[in-house]
Amino acid sequence: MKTISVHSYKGGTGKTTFLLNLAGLLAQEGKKVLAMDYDLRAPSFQSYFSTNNLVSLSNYLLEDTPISKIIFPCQVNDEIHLDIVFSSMEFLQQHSKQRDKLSRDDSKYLSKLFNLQKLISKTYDYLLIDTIPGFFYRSIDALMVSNIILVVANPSISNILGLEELSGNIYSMLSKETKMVLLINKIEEEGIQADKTIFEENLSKLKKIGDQMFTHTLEVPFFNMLSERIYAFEKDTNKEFLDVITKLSKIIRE
Amino acid sequence: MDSKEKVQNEDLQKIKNYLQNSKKNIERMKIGKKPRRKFKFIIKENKFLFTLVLIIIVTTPLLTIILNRNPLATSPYKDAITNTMETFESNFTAVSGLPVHEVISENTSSELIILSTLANSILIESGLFSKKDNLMKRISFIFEIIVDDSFRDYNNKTQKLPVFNQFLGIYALYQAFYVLEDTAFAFSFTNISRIVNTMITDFLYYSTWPNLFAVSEDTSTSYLVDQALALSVLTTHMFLTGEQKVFGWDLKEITGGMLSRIENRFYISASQSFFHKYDTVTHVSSGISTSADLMFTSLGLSRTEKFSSGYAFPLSSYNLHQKVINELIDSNWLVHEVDKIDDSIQIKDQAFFTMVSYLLNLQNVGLEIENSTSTFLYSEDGFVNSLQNPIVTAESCMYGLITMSSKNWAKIQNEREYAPEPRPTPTGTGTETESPVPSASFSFVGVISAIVVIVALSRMSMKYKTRKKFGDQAEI
Ligand SMILES: Nc1ncnc2c1ncn2[C@@H]1O[C@H](COP(=O)(O)OP(=O)(O)OP(=O)(O)O)[C@@H](O)[C@H]1O
Ligand SMILES: [Mg+2]
Repeated sequence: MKTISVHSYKGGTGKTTFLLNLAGLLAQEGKKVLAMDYDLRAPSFQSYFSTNNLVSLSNYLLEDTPISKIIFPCQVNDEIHLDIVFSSMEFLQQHSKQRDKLSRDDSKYLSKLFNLQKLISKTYDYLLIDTIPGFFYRSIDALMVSNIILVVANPSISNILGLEELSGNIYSMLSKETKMVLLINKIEEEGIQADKTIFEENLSKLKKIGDQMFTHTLEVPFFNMLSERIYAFEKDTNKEFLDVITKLSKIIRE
Repeated sequence: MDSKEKVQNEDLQKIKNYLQNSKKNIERMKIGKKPRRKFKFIIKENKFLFTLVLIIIVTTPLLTIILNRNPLATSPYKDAITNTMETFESNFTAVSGLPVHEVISENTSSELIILSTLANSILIESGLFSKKDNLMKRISFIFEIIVDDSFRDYNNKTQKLPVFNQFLGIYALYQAFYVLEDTAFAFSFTNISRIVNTMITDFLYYSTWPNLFAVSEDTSTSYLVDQALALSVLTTHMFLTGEQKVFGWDLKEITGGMLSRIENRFYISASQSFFHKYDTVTHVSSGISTSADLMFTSLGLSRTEKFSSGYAFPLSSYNLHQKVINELIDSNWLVHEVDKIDDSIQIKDQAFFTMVSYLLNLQNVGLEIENSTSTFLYSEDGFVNSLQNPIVTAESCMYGLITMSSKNWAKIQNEREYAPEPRPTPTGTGTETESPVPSASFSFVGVISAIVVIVALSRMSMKYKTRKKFGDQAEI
């Protein structure tokens, strides 16, 4: 089983979009995939699936709920084996003590994640983990157990500064075997009509970081698309976007 | 450096430290060690424990007295169980079916793998045995014999097992699932459902549709016992998952259909008796039903009585069970194969009849059989195969253990089997029915509420949001 995490410095870079679409594509190809929402601060898998899940990842992390109870099959059709682990925002809001527990530098959660990974490793081909953007202990846990890390960045100055900081302090310290993929997602910053020259400048800075620090760099254009879709499962799908995800899946399988 | 920046840098340093420690921890975990954890977290988490330790130290003298008392015996057969388990573990290293004292060579068979998984699981569930390592071994074996969602011959994986073992295999998987819930995720109910789906397509709809007849592949004979076990397992599956449908198959409909086939092809209403087998080519029923045929039919009927399958079988499970007692069980409570006076007393029948009796809530019968089994079929080494040929084999050990643990286990099993809806009107046959669970119609809301009830048992079903076409276009 391969474990893949997506991470970024800032929020809203496109992590979840890439992660779930990659999950969908791999599952569509017949792989057994488990996608896990480890973005404990702002979980978002709920908006992709209709479910009233009662048991979430935090139940496993904090209350020792068995793994089998936090995994939900996504029933697209019988051939597709895509399973999901949710995080529940409600849970974290209501129990602030527990939220505090989860944000500490306690190695317990690393071992929980490690055990989960070990237990499911025979059942799945891929474990995909969505993370909290930025410097967080739980995200570091996810990065530590991953074979491949997808870092998503937008061509904006804050993204670049953040990426530099992450690269210098975190990514550079990870195991040499970890494959690092930079996804430059040309999503425009909200409210700002990006100046073309600045945009190009930022882009080339990102590419340079990509060349220095990453195994692969992939540029993703801006798509006029709808959010919260798994395009591999959609009838009238977005072909260009799926092409990008296919490219990504090839890098992952290399 | 202003103060804010300083704080941030301190945080960064903490994060880097954490990362360094995590690296070491991962290495530790890879070789099976526990990660190093900050002491403050351990204390925080175990405040209660630390206090307790203090109390224990203070009250040690008192505790010694308490601890020196004999522990409560949970079963009068504890010694038999321990001895049998020891015999099994020391003599049958892999899952070989050889008798004790004979040369031990690898003679692994799928039947034994399934049987020992079942026996081990229900033994642990009954609370009479706690070690799980042995079961873990069984599990790795059972995964080896599941190929493309059906159970295969251990030595020839292209060969599917006969239908009886297929269904017994599923039953063993449920039990293992409950015992290993937290450690062996691979037994999710979704995975088991996949196997159930294969059973229905490969063994029930095997020839012309809709056959609703359990027939092993490449044979034309169908046995009553196979129909009965299939019926029991399919209904149990419905109860355990709370789902009436498996991969589009409506289990209630299948159950009703199977009952009707059993009545038409195996039941002789004049004498209220059954045929043993049915030829699917010549359409001829023949043979005298055995105790196994009847006890499993009784089990299957008892499960279908918990809900309305749309088909009323002319005989109740209780009456059939009584019939077995009257016709096939002698005064020593030994189960005979076809006649009260025949000389085939097998531990297999003892085991299954104990199990069925307890599952039907007929405690007194269960106790008697349990008793007679330990009296007549137990030697010092373990349980023996049959009265006529009393040798201890891996198989006989397993059946003995099933007999001994049925009582405690069946209680648990019955509690978790929820019928999808209450039986419409009790037919007053005398069966002790469990209190029905409130009706859940299988609308979406129904599914959700049923799920709430069985959330401890199964994973929830979930659909990827389907979108309306024009909605998409409107947004673009
Ligand atoms: N290449 C792209 N073109 C157009 N829209 C995009 C692109 N990539 C992502 N988006 C959109 O940007 C929004 C944010 O994406 P997403 O939720 O995946 O980000 P995220 O990094 O997971 O955010 P968060 O940090 O809040 O979890 C979504 O509405 C998504 O559809
Ligand atoms: Mg997200």
